[in-house]
Amino acid sequence: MTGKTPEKEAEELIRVDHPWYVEYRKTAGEYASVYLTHLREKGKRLAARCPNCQKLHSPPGCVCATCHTRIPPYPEGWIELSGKARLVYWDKQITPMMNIMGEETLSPNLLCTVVLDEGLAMLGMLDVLADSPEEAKVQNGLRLELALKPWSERIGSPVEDILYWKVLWDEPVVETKLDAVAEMSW
Amino acid sequence: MGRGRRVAIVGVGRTAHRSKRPDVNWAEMFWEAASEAVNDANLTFKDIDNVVSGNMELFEGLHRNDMWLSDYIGGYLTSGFRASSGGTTGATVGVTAMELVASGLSDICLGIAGEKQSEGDSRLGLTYYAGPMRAMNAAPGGAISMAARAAGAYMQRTGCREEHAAMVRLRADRNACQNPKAHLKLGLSSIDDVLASKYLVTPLRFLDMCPTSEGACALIVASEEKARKITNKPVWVVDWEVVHTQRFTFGFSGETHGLAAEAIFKKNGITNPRQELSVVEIYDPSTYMQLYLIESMHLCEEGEAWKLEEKGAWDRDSECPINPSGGVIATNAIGGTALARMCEVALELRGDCGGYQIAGKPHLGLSTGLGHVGWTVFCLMSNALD
Repeated sequence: MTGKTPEKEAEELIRVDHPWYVEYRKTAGEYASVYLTHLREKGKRLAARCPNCQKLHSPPGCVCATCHTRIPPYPEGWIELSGKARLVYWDKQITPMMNIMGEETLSPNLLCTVVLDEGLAMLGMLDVLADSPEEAKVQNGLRLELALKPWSERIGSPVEDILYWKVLWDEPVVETKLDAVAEMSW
Repeated sequence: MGRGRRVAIVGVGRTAHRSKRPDVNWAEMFWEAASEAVNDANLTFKDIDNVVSGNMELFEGLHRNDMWLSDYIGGYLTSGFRASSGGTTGATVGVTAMELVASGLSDICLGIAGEKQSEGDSRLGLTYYAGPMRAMNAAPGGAISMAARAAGAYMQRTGCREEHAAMVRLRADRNACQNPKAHLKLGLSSIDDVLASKYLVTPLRFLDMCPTSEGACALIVASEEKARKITNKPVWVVDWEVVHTQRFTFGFSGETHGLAAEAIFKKNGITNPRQELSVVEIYDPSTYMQLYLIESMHLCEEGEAWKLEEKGAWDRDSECPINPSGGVIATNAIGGTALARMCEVALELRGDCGGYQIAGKPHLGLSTGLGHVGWTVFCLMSNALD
């Protein structure tokens, strides 16, 4: 009726953009504070074992989700994770996507699922670039070691401090499967 | 009550409330309240067959909070709901838990709500609500300015003076000082202390407004059959009334409280609420708001609440104690505050309030919840079935 296309009419509808800036300041709490401080200072991740069902939790929380038992604060029942793992599966990102910081990124590295020596599953990134000559050598069971930023650059954040899983090419490959129901670490 | 099975509150848990809780993260704080409720009911988390949780999402930047919370409140491999309804969030959580049990979908349900106010920007979260057109009309000063204009209108309408609001604050503080879980325990000695506090938006002074608190509270509701086995002090849920409408602006009108009160009193044969109710916990973010909500709820005639305040009509040892816990003016972890009103009434009816227990043998109590745009949730409770 107006002589305009539906697309043109839709463009002319009033839209008010309303950007916000909100600063959120999250409390880590006693358990996560110990975990994050240890990561920053020692370059190692911690886990806590439930005194009842023996399940390992990393990062540790104050209660076991499975059996609701109170997990004692550090150091009772806490262990330092070795930082060693085996590669289970890997893939590469093709389309840029939003990361946890709200930025649209395309990871140049291969993405991976690993099993820690302590039995927990974890997601991450390999130190192998997608489409590089090394990509063809990547296989299930590769030995991996967690690589972090040097101490002077660490801030106590898994997102910022952990670089990738470094492939230990010289170590033997051991075929590794992941249980259908595996405890996750993050 | 024609809502299905009988429901009873069998456990209550509350964290202590403070401005900041740097010792616990959000989920750990909720765990404290959940644990206390479970222990209060002499249950274990495995006895809970449903969990309902709630918070004001924009305040902390935490939505879908159940994804974090479930591990900490017995939600792992258990049915659950999440509720967010503004200032009435806590009451919606409580009523949802009650409805689950009344309907037969749950036998023992945990309802839990709270807030960590220091972790985000509550003012921004309060400003942007109920659609962008309403948000664009929000006045500078946000909720406080709206409450201030409502206070001014009340003073103009009824002749109430600042001194009467100060009396409300003094009463709240005296009650809060006896409540170990309350946030502000100021030890005010007279209304002069209140009148000496600076203005925020006239006529509201600093001490006329509630604090921003961090804390959580929980209650466990059960079917009659389960409740009789769990506790010898069940608090029976007599009825509830929810009035959620978008028409009203926060603070300007107590009309939704009036609608809820008329409905719940009529349904339950209450003709003289001030005489028949043993205790009332009103959601009162400001002193003036308590006064006009008392009137809206028909606890007295319009324009009379401040006059009765002069006579101590709402004191802990009066015929109709209002907010013996200290109320929202003393403690306000927004997402949990309306649930806290239910918890406090339940504790009064059980006789478990210690230093702030009301006198006599309370038997019938009412809690209210209030949110932006006048959302209202009432809950009527009794420690006797008849």
